Amino acid sequence: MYKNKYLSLIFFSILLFVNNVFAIYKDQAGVIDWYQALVGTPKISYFQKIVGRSNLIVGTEKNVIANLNLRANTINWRQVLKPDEKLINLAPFDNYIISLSESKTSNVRIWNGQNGYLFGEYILEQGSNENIENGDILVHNNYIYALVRGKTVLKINNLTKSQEGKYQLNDNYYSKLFYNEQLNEIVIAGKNKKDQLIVTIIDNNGRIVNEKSISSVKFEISNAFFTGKNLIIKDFEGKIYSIESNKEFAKSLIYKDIKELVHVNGDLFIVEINNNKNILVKINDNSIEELKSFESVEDGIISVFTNDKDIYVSKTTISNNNSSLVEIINANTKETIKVFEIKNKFTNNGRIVKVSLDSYRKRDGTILYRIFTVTQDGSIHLYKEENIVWDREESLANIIDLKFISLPEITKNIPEAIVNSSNIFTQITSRIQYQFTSIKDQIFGKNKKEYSGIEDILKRDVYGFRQLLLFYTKKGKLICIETLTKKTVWTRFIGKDIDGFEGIKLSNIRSSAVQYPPVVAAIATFNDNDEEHTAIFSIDATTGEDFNYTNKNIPSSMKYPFKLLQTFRLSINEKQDKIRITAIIKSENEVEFYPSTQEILDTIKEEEKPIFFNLNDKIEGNTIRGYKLYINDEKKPQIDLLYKKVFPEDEIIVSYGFKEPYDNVASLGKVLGNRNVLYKYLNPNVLAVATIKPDEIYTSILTVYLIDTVKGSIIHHSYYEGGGETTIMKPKIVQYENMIICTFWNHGAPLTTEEQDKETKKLRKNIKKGSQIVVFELYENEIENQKDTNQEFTSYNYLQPYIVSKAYILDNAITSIGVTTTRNGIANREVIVSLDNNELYGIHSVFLNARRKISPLTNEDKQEGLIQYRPGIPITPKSIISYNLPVTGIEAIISNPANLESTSLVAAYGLDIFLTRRSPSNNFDILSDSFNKPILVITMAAVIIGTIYSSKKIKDNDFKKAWKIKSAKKEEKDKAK
Amino acid sequence: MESKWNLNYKTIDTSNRIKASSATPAGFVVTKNEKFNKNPEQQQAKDENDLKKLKVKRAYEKAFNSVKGIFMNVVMMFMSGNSINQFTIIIVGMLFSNPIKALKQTNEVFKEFEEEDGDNSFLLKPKLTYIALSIAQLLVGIYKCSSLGVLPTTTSDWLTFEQPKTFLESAHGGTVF
Repeated sequence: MYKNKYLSLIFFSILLFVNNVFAIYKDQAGVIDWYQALVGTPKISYFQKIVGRSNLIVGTEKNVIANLNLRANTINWRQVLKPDEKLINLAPFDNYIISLSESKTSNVRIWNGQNGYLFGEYILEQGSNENIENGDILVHNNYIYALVRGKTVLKINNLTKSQEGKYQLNDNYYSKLFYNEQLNEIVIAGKNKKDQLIVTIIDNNGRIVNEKSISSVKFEISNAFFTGKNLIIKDFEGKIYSIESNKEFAKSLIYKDIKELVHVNGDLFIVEINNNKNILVKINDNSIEELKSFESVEDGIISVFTNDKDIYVSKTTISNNNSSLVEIINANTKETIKVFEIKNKFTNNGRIVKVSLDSYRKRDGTILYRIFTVTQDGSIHLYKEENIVWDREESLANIIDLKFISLPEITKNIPEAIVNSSNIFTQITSRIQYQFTSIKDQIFGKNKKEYSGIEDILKRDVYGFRQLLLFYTKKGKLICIETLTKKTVWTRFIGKDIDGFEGIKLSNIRSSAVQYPPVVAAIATFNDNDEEHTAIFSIDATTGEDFNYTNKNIPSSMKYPFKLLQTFRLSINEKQDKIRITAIIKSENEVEFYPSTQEILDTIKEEEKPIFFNLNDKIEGNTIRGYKLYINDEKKPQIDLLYKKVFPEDEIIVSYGFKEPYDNVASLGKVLGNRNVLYKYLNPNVLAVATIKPDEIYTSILTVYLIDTVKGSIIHHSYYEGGGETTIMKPKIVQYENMIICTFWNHGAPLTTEEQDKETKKLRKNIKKGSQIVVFELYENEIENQKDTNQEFTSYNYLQPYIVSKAYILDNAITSIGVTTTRNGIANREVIVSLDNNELYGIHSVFLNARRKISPLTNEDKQEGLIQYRPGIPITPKSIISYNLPVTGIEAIISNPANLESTSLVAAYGLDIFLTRRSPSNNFDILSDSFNKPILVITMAAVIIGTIYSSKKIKDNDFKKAWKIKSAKKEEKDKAK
Repeated sequence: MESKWNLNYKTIDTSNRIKASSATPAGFVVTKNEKFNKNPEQQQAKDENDLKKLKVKRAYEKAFNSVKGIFMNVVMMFMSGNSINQFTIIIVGMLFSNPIKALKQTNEVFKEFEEEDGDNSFLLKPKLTYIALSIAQLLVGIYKCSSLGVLPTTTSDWLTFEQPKTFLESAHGGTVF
C-alpha cells in the first residue's frame, strides 16, 4: 500500500512538470514574426505646437508625412502617399499640417496634426509634368496659398473649406511665396531659364499688381528671402542684394562676403562669414547691422525656432566627428542662452546633415530645448538638450539589397584534454566534467542566458530560425539584424565621407561553415574627381569587420577606376579562405576578378567551362545580350559576345524574372493522378522577360518571353491583350523550380460594338480589367513518363519543353511577389504577394496551378489534388500573413530556408520591414500546437506503471501456483464447499 | 489440442485389418473380388492400395480447404474499398499472412497421411495443389495491393531514386547597373 502512495506521488509530480512544459511551448508560439514601421529620411522636418504641445513633423524622401513621438521611439501617426505621388512641401497651420504633393494632379491636403486624419483636400488637374518641384505653401490668417508647378497659385479659405481662387502666372518658374503684411500683397519669386530673378506681386484677389525680372544678380532661388518689406538675395559671390517691392532693380548692400544666409524672422538673418563665424544680423533698407555672433567658430548648421513671442537660433557644430556643440541664441534679447554638447556616433552614422530646434516650457517655467538631427546615413536622432531621447534607423527605408545569412553551426569548445591527451585517466575525467557542465548548461543555464549577449545570438538554433538579416542601404550603411529577436547585431557605414556613394549589390561570397564565419561582399559605385569608380568590400557578416584574407596579397577592399556594368559570383573558390570569386564586368570585353591572383585565373582555366553571363538592358530598354567569359591561351580573361536579342521596336522590357538563390528541387517530376509522371523542365538558365507595347484596340499588350540565356533562344512566347502596368502595379515575375509566375495589370478590353462578330465579342468579354496572374509550368515532354534520357543537360541540346499555362485574377493590385524556399524543396512552395492595401498575402500552390482543368474533374484529377479552374483567386483572411499590420510600400519579398524542412523565413522590405516564418505544407516535421502532450505523457506513464504492476502480479501468481498456495479468499470458498 | 474424435490415418494398422477379415462382423458384405481372390498377399496389397487412394482423397480435400478462404477474402477485399485505411491494411495483412503461413506449414499439414516407410511420392500431387492454391491466395493479396496503389509498378514510384541532371552551363549576371 505504501508503495502505491509513492507511485501516485511520482505520478502527480510528473503531471506538474507536464503542465510547465505545456506553458513554455505556448509561450514560444506567438512570436514568429516582427515588423518595423518606418518613415524614411526626412527632407522636411520641424517642430510644431499642436494644442499647446510640441510635435515633431517630418516629410520624407519616401513621401511619408509623419508625426514622431517625442518621448518614445514610435510614430504617433504617419500618412504614406501613393507610390507615384511626390511630397513637395509641408507647412504648419494652427493645429493642422498642410502638404503639397504632386502626382498626375497637384494635391493640397490639410491634415489634423494630432491624429493625422485628412481634414481637407484640394486637387488641381494637371496636363503636363513640368516643374513639379516648384511648389510652395504660404499661410496667412485663415487663407492658404499654394504655388503649384511654378505657375498656379491656389487660394484656399480654411474657414469655409473652399477653394476661393486659382490664379495663373505668366511664367512657370516661380518657386517661392511671401506675404507682404503692409500692403496685403503676395510676392511670388522665382528663377527662370535665363537665370533671371522673376517677381510677380498679386493682391488678395489674384490681380497682378506688379511683374518684373532682374538679370543683374546671379543667385540660387533658395537664397531669396523676404523681410516683410524687401526681397533679400545672396548671390554666388556672397554679396547681399535688396529689392524693394516697387523698384525694378537690385540694390547691393555693403557687407563682408558671406558664405551662407539663413532667414530667422522679419529682417533678422544669420550670416556665415569666413572662418565659419556665424553672426545674427539685421538687414535694413540700406545697411546691415551686426547684433550678436555665435561663439563657436567651427563649421556648423543653423536652425531656427520661432514661436509667437520667442525666436531662438541654434548653431550645431559638425567639425568634430563624435560630439557637436549646440549654441542657442535668443534673437529677441540677442543673448546666448544655452550651450550644450550632443554626442553623435560618427563611425555608425556619419556627419550631421540636418538640424531642427525646438524649445518648450516645462510646468515650472524653465525653458528646455530639443535638437532633432538627421545624419549622413539617413538615420534620425532626437536629443533633449545633451541627452539622447531616441535613434531611429530610418536608413532602412532605402534598402538596395537584403541578404539572409545563415549562422555557423554551434561550435562546442571541447577541452584540449579530451582531444589529444595521452593519459586515459585525464581524458575520462575531463570528458565527464565536460558532459556534466554541458548538461548543467542545458538544464539551468540556457533559459537565463538566452539572448543575453551578441555571443549567444551568433549561434545557430536547432531549427535554424535564428539567422542574420543583412541590409545594405543606398547610402552605404550595412545593418545586421537577428531574425528571432529583431536585435541589431552590428551596423557599419561604409559610405561615410565617400562622395556619391551608391550601394549596388550584396553578395554572399562565403556561406557559413563550422570553422568559417560567413563573408559578404558589398559592391558600390562612388565618385572620385568627377569620375565614376567601383568599390568592393569584403565584410565578415557576423561582426561587420573587414575580412582579412589569409593570403596577405588580397586586400579586404578594392577600388576600381571604372563604373561596373555587372557583377556576379563564380562557383570557383579562392583556395585558402574558401571565398567565392566575384567577377566585375568593366565593359563588354573587360573583366576584373576579386580576389585576383594568377592562381585564380589558373583555376578558372582548369575548369575549362566557359562562364556565361548576360548584360541586359535596364527596365524600359529592349535588348538582352549574352556573353561567354573564359581564360584564353595567353592566360588572360576574354569575353566573346554570343548573341544580342532585340525585341521589336515598340516593345519595352518591363520586368525580369526573379529567382531565389537557394532553389532546391526535391522531385524531378510531377506525379499525376494515374501515378504517371510528367518530368519537370528544370533548366536553370530560363529567364522570363515581360515586355509591353502600346496597342490601338487594347491600351497595351504585355508579352512574356521565356529565354534560354545561354544561347539566347526564345523557348516560349505568349502575349496578353490589355496587359500593362499602372503607377501602383508594375509587372513582376517570380521563377522557381519549373514554374514561372507573372503578375501584371490588365487594362481590360474596350467596349464591344454592334458591328463586331460574335467571336470577337466573346473574346473581348473574357478580358477583364484588374490584376492578373499568369502561371507557367514547364515540362520536358507532354507525354507522360517520357523523359529526356541525357543525364547531362546542355542548352545546346535541342529540347523543347512542354508548357502549360493558366491565368488568374486577384482582387487587389500586387506591388511585389516572392516565393518561399525550403531546405530540400519537399514542402509546397507558397507564393507571397504584397498588395496595395498594405497586406502581405500567401497564395497556396493549389490555386496557382497551371494544370487546373476547365472541364469537370475526373477521378484522376482529384487524385492529383487538382481543383476545377476558376479565374478568381479567393482571398481568405487566414492567408493574410501580415494579419492586421499595415506593411506599407513593399518593393521586394525574399525568403530563406530554416533547418526545418517545413519552414521558410520570409522577409519583405521597401518602406516597412516585415519578417515572418511560413510553413506552406503545415508543420509536418514538428508537433502541432494542439498536440496534447500531457495525454501522451499520462498514457505512457500509465502503460509503464501497468506493465510493472502486472508483471509483478503474474510473477506472484506463478509462484503461488507452483507452490499451490491458495489465496485467503479461495481457501475460505473451498472450506465452505 | 488434438480432438479425440480426429481420425489419424497414420495409426491405422493395416496388418490388423487383414487378420480381422477372417472374422467379418455381422452384416459385413464381402465383395466378389474378395470372395474369389482369397490370396491373402494379394488382398493385403490391394487393401494397402485402397488406403493410399483414401489418403490421397483426404489429402486433396485438405488441400482444397483453403479455396473456401479465397472466396471469403475476395468478398472482404471488395467490401473494404480502395482507400488506404486501417481496415484495408488489416485485410491486406491477412491476405498475405494466411497463404504464407499455409505455405510454411505444407509438410505439417500432410504429415498425417505420410507412410511410415517413407515412400510419400503419392502425396506430391495434393501438396502441389495445396501450394498452387496458397499462391493463388497470395496473388489475390497482390491484386489488392495494386488496386490500393501500393505496388511500385509506375514511374512515379521510382521517381525519388532518379538522379537529377547535371547542368553543364550556368548563366550569371542580369541587368546592367
